[in-house]
Parts: sequence; C-alpha cells; structure tokens
Amino acid sequence: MSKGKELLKKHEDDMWRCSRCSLCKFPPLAQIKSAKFYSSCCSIDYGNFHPWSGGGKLVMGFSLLLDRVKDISENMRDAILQCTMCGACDVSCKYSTNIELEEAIFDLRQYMVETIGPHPVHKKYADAAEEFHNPYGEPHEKRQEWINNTSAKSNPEAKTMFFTGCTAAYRQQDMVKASVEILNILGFKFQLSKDEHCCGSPIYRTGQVETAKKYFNHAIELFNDAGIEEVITACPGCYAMFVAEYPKYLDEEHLKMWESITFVHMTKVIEQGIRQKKIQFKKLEKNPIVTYHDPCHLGRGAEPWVPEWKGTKKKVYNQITIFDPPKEYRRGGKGVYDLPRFILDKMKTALDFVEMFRIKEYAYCCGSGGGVKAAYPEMALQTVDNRLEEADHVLEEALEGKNLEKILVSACPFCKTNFENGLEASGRNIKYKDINQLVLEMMEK
Amino acid sequence: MSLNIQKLNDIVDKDSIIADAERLDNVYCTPILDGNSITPKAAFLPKDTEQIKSLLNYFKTVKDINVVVLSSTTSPKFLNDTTSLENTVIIDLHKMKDIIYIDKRNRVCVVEPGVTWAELIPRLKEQGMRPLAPLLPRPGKSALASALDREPHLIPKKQYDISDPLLCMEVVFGNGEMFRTGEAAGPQSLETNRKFGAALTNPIGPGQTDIFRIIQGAKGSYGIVSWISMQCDEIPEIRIVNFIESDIIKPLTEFLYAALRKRWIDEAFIINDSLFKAIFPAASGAIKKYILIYAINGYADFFPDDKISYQFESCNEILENIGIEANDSVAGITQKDIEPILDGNTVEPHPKFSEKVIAIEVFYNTTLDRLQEHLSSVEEILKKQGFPLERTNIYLQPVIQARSVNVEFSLLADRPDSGNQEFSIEKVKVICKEIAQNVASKGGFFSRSYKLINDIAFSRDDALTDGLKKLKRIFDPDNILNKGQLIFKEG
Amino acid sequence: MSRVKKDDVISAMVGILGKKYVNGDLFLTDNYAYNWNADNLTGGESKFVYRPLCVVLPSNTEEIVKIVKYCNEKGVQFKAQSTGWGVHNSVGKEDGVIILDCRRMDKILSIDTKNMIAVVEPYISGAMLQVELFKHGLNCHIQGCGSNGSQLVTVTSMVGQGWTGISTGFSNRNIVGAEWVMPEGKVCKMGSWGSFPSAGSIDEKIDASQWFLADGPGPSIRGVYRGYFGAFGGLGVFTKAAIKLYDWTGPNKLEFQGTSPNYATIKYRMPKNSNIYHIIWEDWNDFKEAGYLLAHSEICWALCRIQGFDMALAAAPSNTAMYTEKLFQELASRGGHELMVTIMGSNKKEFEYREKLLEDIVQKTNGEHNPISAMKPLKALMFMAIVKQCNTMRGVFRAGGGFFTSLGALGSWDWCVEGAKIGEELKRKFIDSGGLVDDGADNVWGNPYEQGTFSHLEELYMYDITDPESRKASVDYLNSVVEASKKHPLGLGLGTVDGEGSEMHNIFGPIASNYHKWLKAIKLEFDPNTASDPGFYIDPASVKE
Repeated sequence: MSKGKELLKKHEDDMWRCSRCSLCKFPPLAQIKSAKFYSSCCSIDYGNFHPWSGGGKLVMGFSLLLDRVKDISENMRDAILQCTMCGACDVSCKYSTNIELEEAIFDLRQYMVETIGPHPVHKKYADAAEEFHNPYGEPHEKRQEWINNTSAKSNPEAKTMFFTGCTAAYRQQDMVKASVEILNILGFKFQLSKDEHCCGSPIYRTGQVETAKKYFNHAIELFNDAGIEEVITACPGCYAMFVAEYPKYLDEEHLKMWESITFVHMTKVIEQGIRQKKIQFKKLEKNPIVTYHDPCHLGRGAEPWVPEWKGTKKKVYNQITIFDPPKEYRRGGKGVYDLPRFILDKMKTALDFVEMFRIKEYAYCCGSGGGVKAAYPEMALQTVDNRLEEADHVLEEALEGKNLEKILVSACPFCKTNFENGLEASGRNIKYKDINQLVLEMMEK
Repeated sequence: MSLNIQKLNDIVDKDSIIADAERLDNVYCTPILDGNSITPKAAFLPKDTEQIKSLLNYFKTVKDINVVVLSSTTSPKFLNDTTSLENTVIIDLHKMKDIIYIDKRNRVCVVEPGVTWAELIPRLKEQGMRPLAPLLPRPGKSALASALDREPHLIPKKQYDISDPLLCMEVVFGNGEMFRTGEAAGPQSLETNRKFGAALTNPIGPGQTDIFRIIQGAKGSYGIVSWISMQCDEIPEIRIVNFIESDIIKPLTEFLYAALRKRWIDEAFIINDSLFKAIFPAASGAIKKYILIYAINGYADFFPDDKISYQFESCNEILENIGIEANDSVAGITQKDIEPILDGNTVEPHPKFSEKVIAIEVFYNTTLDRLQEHLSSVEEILKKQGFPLERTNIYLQPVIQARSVNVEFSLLADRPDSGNQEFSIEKVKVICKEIAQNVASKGGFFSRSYKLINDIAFSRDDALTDGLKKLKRIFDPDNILNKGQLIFKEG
Repeated sequence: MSRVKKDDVISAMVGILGKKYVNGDLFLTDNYAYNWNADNLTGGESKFVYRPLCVVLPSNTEEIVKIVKYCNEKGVQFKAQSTGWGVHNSVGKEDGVIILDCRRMDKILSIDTKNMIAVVEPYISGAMLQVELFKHGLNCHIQGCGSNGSQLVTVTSMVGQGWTGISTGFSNRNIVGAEWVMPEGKVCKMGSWGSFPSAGSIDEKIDASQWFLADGPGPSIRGVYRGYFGAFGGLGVFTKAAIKLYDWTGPNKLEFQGTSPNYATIKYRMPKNSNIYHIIWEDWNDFKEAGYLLAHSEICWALCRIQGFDMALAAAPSNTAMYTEKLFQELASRGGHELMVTIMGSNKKEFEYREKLLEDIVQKTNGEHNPISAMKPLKALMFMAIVKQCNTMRGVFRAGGGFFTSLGALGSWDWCVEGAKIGEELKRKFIDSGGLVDDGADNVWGNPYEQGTFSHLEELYMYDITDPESRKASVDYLNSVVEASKKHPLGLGLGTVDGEGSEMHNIFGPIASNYHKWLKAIKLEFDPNTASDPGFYIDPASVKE
C-alpha cells in the first residue's frame, strides 16, 4: 500500500462510523442560536454539495481508499482544498462521536499532494518560502523592516523571543507594532531574531507536510540556539503551529527542546498586564459597540497537542470499544477564548461588547486559512462576508438605533487581512481592529 | 339500467331490499331541500361487510349505475344526501348497528355506521365515557357519518388533527375490495391484536399510506365504510362552565387564543344570540351578540379540584388582561343547562329545523383573527338582502388547538309546507351562495365539501382536483359511487 | 436506465440552474451513495449504495418544476433530499436518478405567532426553527433522531417520533399546509393557502396565517403521500410546509454553559417552573399503568422511555468514560423500565399541580425516582438534550458507530409494551451470541403521543460497524424482526416496511390489507412515468399481487 493510501487507511474505522448526520455542517446543536447564521462550515457554504463538508471529505477519503474513485480530478481537488481547515466540523462531530475528522481531512489533503501534487498556487508559495523564508516571496532582509520607527529593540540576553510571523512582518505591520509597544510598556525584554523564518503554517496546512517539516526544525533550533524559554507571538497561525502541530512531527531531540519552551499569545500578555494593573483603560462618553471574532488558530486550532494515544483497546458490552488508558480527545474547548473576552470586559468603561452567534469552539471561520485565500479568493471573500454579515447583525441589534461606532475585533493578522478585504468589498460601516491595536487605543497612557 | 334482483337476493335477504317507489320516495327523497331529487331505483340494507362487498362487486358490473351510501335514514336529510341522478341505488347501512366495543382505558369506541348519537351516548355513559361529538348532533345521525364528515367537536385542545376523532376504519372500495386502515390493517387479525392489547387507536398507515384521509370527507365517493374506531373522552368528575358575552368578536377570540395556547380550557365555542336563544328558549333578558362558552374539566384520578382551581384562576388572569368578564350564567342559563350539550346531547326542537323552518348552511374554515372581517361582511350581505339576523345562527368552533376555526352560518329558510315563503329555500340558497363567494374571496377555506360550494372549492387548484380524480380512478375505477358528489359527475 | 445520455442530462440541468449548481462527477456521485444504514441494505458489506446520475441544487419551486417536467419527458428519475441523513435519501438505482439537494432552500418563510403556524423550506432544521420560535414563546415538535433533521421532511416524508410527542404530537399530524410539486410537475397548493388569491403568485410574500388547514376540499390529499413513514422522496418534492407550533413556557433564549462536550444549562439550573424526572418501574404492568396515567393526566411536556444505558452514553463524553466512570455506570446498570418525565408550567400553580400529580402517579404505580438522575449536572444535561434534541448521536450512534432501530409501530400503550417484550427476546439472542451491543436487550425508546391517543416503542440496537461480524449480526437481527413481524402482533414497524422497497411490500402487503396494491396504484396514477425514484417507496413493476 502506498504511503498516501496508508494515510487514508488510518481512518478507515472512522469512515465506516460516519453516519452522514450533517452535524459537521452546523455548530453543536445546542449552540445553534440563529436560523440565519446556522452554518459552521464555510467549505460547504461555498461548494454547496455534500463532499465539501467535513463528513463529505471523510467519505471522499473512503471512496479513494476503496478505489471506488481512483483518480483525483481537478474538481475533486477543489472539493478537497476549498476548505480553510478551520476545524469547526471536527468540534461539532466530536461533540457526539469520537471521529477524528480534522485529522482525516488533513490526511486526505496530504494524500492529494502525494498523488497529484499541491495546488499550483500553494506550490508557488512553498517555493517562495524555500527561497525567501516566507510564502509572500518578499526579501528575507525586509522581514524586520517593521521594527524601524518603533520602540522595538532586540535584547540578546532575553530568554523571551517575540516571533513576528510572516503575515505580520510583511502585511500587517501596524498590528505587530502595536504588540511590541505593549510589550515595551509592560517592561518585557525580548529577542527579535533576524533568522526568523516562516513557521511553516501555510505550507503545512495545504498538505505539503514534508516540505513544512523543514520549518518546524528550523524554528525549534532557532529558539534553542538563542536560549529561549518563552516565545511570544501575536500571530495565532504561528501560535497554533507551535502548540498544536509541531510536536506531532518533531523527532525526540527536537521534541525535548520544544518541551522546554513556553509559547504565549499576546492576549495572555495583555491579560497579565491588566491583572498587574499595568494596563488600565479609559472612560469614554460614547462607547462604541464591539464584537469579537475567535480566530480558528487561536481557538480550536490552538488547543494544545496531545500525544498520540498508546494503549490497549478492548471491547465491552460485546461491541463497544474503549481505550485503556482513556484516550484524550481534542475537542476544541481548550483554545484561547477567555483571554480576549477578559480583556474586552475590562474595557467596559470604553466600549460595549456583544457576542456573535457562532463563537469560541464553534466560531465561523473568516475564510482565509488553509490556502483558501491564495487559491480560492472568491471563497475567502464569500466566507468573510458571511462573518461580517453576522457581526453587523449583532452590532446593529445591540445598538438599538443609536448612532455609535461599530467595531469588529480579532487577534490574528490573517483574519485581519481578510476582514479588511471583506469590509472594502462590502462597504459595511464597521471598523476592524486587531486586539493589540484596540488595547493601545483604549489604554490610559 | 336493469338490476338482477335474483342475484341481489342472494346477497341480502328480501327484507333488506326496498324496491317500492313510494317507500323509496318517503325514506330517501327530500324534495324540501333539493327540488331536483329523483327517486332511487332501489335501496339495499346490508348487515355486514361481506354483504357490502358483494353488493359493490355486483354493482360494478351494472352499466350507468350510481350507488349512494347512507348511514341513517332519519329525516330531514340535510346536506344533500339524496341525488339528482338517474339510476341511483341506495346502500343504507342503518341496520349495521353494532357498537363493537368501548375501551375506556384507551378512550376509544368502535362503531358500525348505523349507530346513532342517541344510541352511542348512553352506552358510553355506562362506562363513564362520552363521545367527542359535534355541537347538537342530531340524535338520529350516524356517529360514524359525523366523523367521516369531519364535523368538528367541542374540545379544541384535544384535537391534534382535523381528522379527529376518527381513528381506524374498515372500508370497501368502489371496486369491491375491503381495506382496513391504521393499525386495523394488521398484520395479524383484529382479534389477535386485541388480545395483545391493541385498541385501534392509531389511524396512520399501514406503511406509507394514509388512506383513511382519502375516505374521510369523500362522502362515499371512494368507498363505503363498514366500521370505524373513534376517540372518546372520560366524563369529567367536576366541571366549571363559564360564559363570556360580547358585541364584538375580538375579545372572545383573544381569550381563546390565550387560553387554548395554554390548554387551560376544554370545551370552547362561540355562538350568536339567535342560536343561544334557539338552544335555550328559556333564556330571558338581553343577550349580547356573541357568547363564548367554555368549560374547565377535572377528571377523577387527577386531583380534579386542584386542576380546575389553578386553570380557572389562570383564565381569570387572561380575562383581566383583556378587560372582559366571564360569568356563570347568561340570561338565566347556567352550567346545569349547558352540560348535557357539552357531553354530546342535543335539544328539541333542533335549531336547524322545525315544523316551519329549515337551515341552509354555509360552513368553512378561517383563523380566529379573521373572524371580525368575515362576520362584518356577512352581516352586510344579510342586510343588503334583507335577511334578518334573528334568523341567522352563527356557530364558531375553534379546531386543531385554535389553529383555525370552523365557521358555520345557518340561515333559517321557510319550509315549503310552512305557509310562508318570504324566505324560501331557493331565496336563502342564493344568499348563502353570495356569502360563500364572499368569504372565499377573503380566503375562507371550504375544507368539507357540499353542493352549495363545490364549484368554488374545487376550482381553486387544478393539481388538487386532478389528484382527487386520480384517486377516483384508483378506488372506484368503474365510477359507481356517489356520482354528483364532489366533482365526479361524469362516468 | 434512462433514454437520455448523462451529458445531455447535465447540460439540461445546467440550463435550468447554472453550472455552479450541477455536478455529475464521480467523486461527488459516489459521495451521495454513502449513507447511514447502507450496510444493512448491502448485507453488511458496504456503506455505499447506488450513485445518482448527478446532483443538483435548486433554489426555488420553479426550478424544481422544470427539473421534474424534464425528467418526465426524458425518462430520467429524480429524488429530493434536504439534510440527506439516512440511506432512504439515496437513490434506488445506479446512474439513473438526479438527486435534488435542497440545501439552498433554507428559509423560514413566515411565522404566525398567534395561530401558531410556521411555513418553512426544506433545509430548515428543528434547531434552526426552534431558536427563532423561542423568541415568541413557541416551540415545535422535533424528531427524536435530532434537531439537525429537516422540519419539512419530518412532517411530509419521514416518520417523526419525538421525545415531546406527548404534547407536541407526531410529525404526520403536525402539518397544516404544503406546497407539493407532484411527480408529473403540477404544483399542488395543499390546503387553505390555495384559497387565497395571492397563493403561488410570483411576488407572493408567504403569510403563515393563510396556511391553517391542509385538508380538503372533501378528501384530504395528505392521504396520498404520508402514512407512518412517508414516501421517502418517491412521490414528488415538497417545497414548503406549514408546521404546527406549540406553546413554550421556557426562556426566550436558552443558553448553555461549558465547552464541548460538556454543555449544560447555565449553572445547571432548570428554567423556572420546570423539572425533569427519571422514574423507574420494576414491573412491566406498573410501567403500563404509569404510562396511561401520565398520558391522560396532561401534565407532561415531554415523556419518553429512555433506557439508562442510552442515557449513560448520551451523558458521557466518550465510550471509555461511560464504562469507567462511576456515575455513568450506575446509570447504565440500574435496569428497570423507566420514563423521563419533563414538566413545565406556565405559572407556579400549574407547575405545583403537575408535580403533585406526578408524585401521586409514581406512588400509585410503585415507581421510584432514580437518585442519580436527580443530580443537578445530569438533570441539566438531560433537559438540554430533550429540548434541543442534541444528544441522540451520542446516545446511540457513538457506541459502536452502528445503530439502527426496529419494531415501534404505532398503537395503544399496552400493545406497544407487549411488543417491547417480544423485541427484548428477539434481540437477546443476538446479544448473547455477541453480535450486538449488550444494552440489556430491553432498549425500547418511545412514548405516548397527544396525551395518549396512540403510542410507540421502538427497539433500538447498536453494533460495531467496523466489525464485519457485528454488521452481520445487525443484518440477521433485522431479518429476524421481519420474520417476527409476520408471526406476532407487532404491526408494521421500523426495520420492516420503512421505505425498504418492494421486497418488503410483497411480504407484508398480503398480510396487511393488501396495502401494497393500493400503494402501487397510487404510485401508478400519480407518477405514471415513474419519474420520482421509487427505490424507497414502491416500484410498481416489482409488486406481486
């Protein structure tokens, strides 16, 4: 059996188990809060046919495994790749079953890459990363240009490294500038490395796993060589890679290095700053109304890695399989949800907050991840528009006719890009702010 | 058309065949209502399903025949039971009088067509039960026929489906084949299932069919029903009956919406002052235009006093919110007077007919919140036509837990033999037709078919009408049953 | 096979819908051949049945009419689905049927809060409708398989038992109007809606208050397409349905705390004037008595027999937890004949009356409250599970991945309980031989409906779908159910004639009033070109009379 087929075979039991209930298309049923914003799967929202759903992809894998479908056509490739790998389907499915849906979808992607190669656009940016250490194909030397005209200063003695990430470095510099300013205000000492390369996320998530592994090892060695004990980042893409994906692929030596490092997202830093009373917020007379979008990679995607289960399976009650020791499932509930909400709550003298319908582990994706933004820009735009419509709906409802500013907040540079594109395309009267920028703006200086 | 009497004698005994023209005329023709009524050729009185089957199997070989089924033969015939077609024979089921069983535990009874309300009510009472009967059912009317006609009963909260109280049935289709619906279909015999605890309470099926819904409301044009099971109710141990009077309908409908939504009231219906006085001639004093009558029942085994107490109190809160009052009497009429009616009994003389008058009816469905509009426009028509409101009985029965209301206008026409023809039957029919057209234009829905409105009702949706014709081809391929009813005039 | 080539069909569909909404690629058609319960139809061999010719995504009635007319003209078949859950959504033959995936028809068209009616399109699920209804103090009947199922489909085409059936009825009886594209392409405006001049007009704004009654004039056309099971897409396409709504005394917004998989009501609280009880009877006769009393008492909002074993599965976050954690084990192993009773009151007095009466009934019938189920977190979870119908998958599908049901015909409560005893014995053999999950054998689920008009109790069973032997046991068990249904007074339940095609009709028709003959006749008359896929309805050519 080919390596690719083995990837599929791994999930054969789950392929049998899927009951085609369509729960993968919705938030967990108890959390459906709107008849309009009822979907949790941007993939099927774009593709419309069942194969685009999480369960549909599992079945696509089954069709391939059984040779019912032998070749991956271009349309099939699109059905596989028109998916941001947001993990919402996995969360919903795992509420009720123990199917490892996201893993199966990811392995299908890998199988596709192995069989017919990556999507040309995805290959393009993998090649770019190969040459320039970032998928944007920008000169590596310009990676730290954002530091100019900021108070950011690399402290070679620091045990903390601030990891910028490619999107922040090259596309969303205002966001990372804000992050670093906060760090400075809080008195952090941190390193900024010239040798920072891509974390590997865009290459990894498009199924080019073998290519991506190079970046994992590079990052870990970078941290280790610099004596780093703590890595702070404002980019959930990088953060999720560090906490949830890297450990799967690191060899023993690199895994040991990884285990010695604490990975922190900026929301944690801000939270601590608030608790230490180093950050306090203004009082405003006219409070804008704010809602928060949970980035997939800060939420369910950032639920920490659990080692692959090892133990014995046994059957009880004749035909129910259980695990000894119990298998730990990642169900998306342990992502970073409370920290941004804590921060926004502390800002209540300066803004009013309202939740969207689809939040936390069942939040709707912004539409940019998984290689979608690059290869299927129309899908990215449709998805972000759906999310913006939801944001607008809850903000308007909360305003009750008052004429106040509407703000959508999130904590991810990739979401930021797509939201900004979406706002421009739709003309909606909503401002987008990254949480670091919002904190700076609302802080008592 | 010629009938083989010899053959028919082999099917039913001689006493069960009526061929005498005068007798046929007296029993089966009602020139009162329908001037076109033609004397049937013969009448046959089968005593069981096998005889019905045999009759139909024979009749389907007879050219041009029209077979009309009747469940009871008490006069006068309302609703055009008779026919204006030549070559009509009657299958008269009034001899099939068996109350097959009454099952208190499952609140169901199984009856043959000839069982009348007058016969059924006391038998149920012996077991502490009562039927889910319409308002003032004619004593001689077949209970089975009532259920097949989808006549609404008085307890909207117990009506989950417009087909209630009908449950299972045994029917002989026009092609002579017998069929049983719902759980009566089997597998296994009725007896075997009964021993197992079955009670014929499930009307649905068998399998992917719901043929009982096709037979119900079809007025015998698809098949002849030989027995049905139907829902009953326990006689309440205690009860409170209240009356709310109003000159406008809205406060009454607001109360019904609120109270029925919460299922705090049992029997509930509205009648107008004319009907109230017709039912209760002893009523004295002024009465407002509309009277809502409702009951709250308490049943043994279920802390009846407590139930009545909290529901009564809760209803009072509704009344207070609306700003109306309920009373325990209207014009001297109290709970004592109305209770027998709530349990399915009728009054004499019946409001729909007397020696002098006979009711011409328009009945249809709409929603409670549309009633005012409908009532106002009907009033205008009556005024324009010079027809007195005092001769107009109005009965409003919420159905399916208040999702709609059965509206019934009964205009009392002068009987031809009454000596007065100011409001002749023909004249009143014209007024009723105008009412029917008017309410239809406002979305009034003729769920139950009858001659006056069939042209309106069946012209609204080709697909539906086409569907009914398809069903006719299935169940009565030789087109022998009740031509002239519904839309199946032609052969 | 149709007379027309696949490419021509696709081309025609593209002409009606546009390229984006038509797909006949192999990877896609194979995907739509996969479904729950396909293994039972394939002798345990496969999760795939037949592939459709293509799948299309219509967005409105007009498009569907065009497709249906095309199929009639060209000898192609069609079959509609909404969420598409269950093998009955698959097609009955290879490569000759167009699936109409109605996902794009996802609107609540109108809610009439006064007359308590909602008009919905096919893709509106129970969960979606319910969340909007709560705002108005209303609720709907949701089928027991879960609130992910379509509201339109359950009232028109597919069974429809539910936990709250005691107060919200049975799906067959919850319809008060529909728009039905009949198999030849005519559009039937079923019921009162058709009386209004605007009905079916191009610029019509749907008004639920017009859809108050589905029956008439005269006979009810509902008689053609329903029954216990519905036609499973074998008799045209329903594009709108008017659904009865019910009073809801709970909060307008029911929120849940926690993260997956541990959602529950906030602070484990029940809404005001509400409570949930898990009561056990040792004796079947006491259980029967209790069922009648509870039904006739009119005190229950929900009343359902659910076995402790399934409750434990539904409550536990994993199979392992269900087996190893004390709480779940106690729940699973308690045994007995139990009922979950949910009482909700519009006010304090009503609630108190209902609770008092419940206790009286429990006492009279020798019932016992299960103390485990009185624990707040478990109660909160069970309440959520019943209201939202969100834990069915856990309760029965997760155990072995294989789940189906059997028996469960509608009838009186006494009769249903007697049937449950037979079901228990039937299943025990397959449990003892190790093929099926040992759920105690007596694992009926069901309840009285409509304050006791009729009832149902279906025998649930689970198996390991990844294990060929277990799959075989499932097939063999279902065969035994068919045999038992011929011999015993069990009615026509699930696992027998529930849309499994003509083979079953040929077995059961002759012993059930020859219903198959009439079903065939209906199919021939209403669908003379057999344009509507008869696979899970009835194929006239296969019927033996």
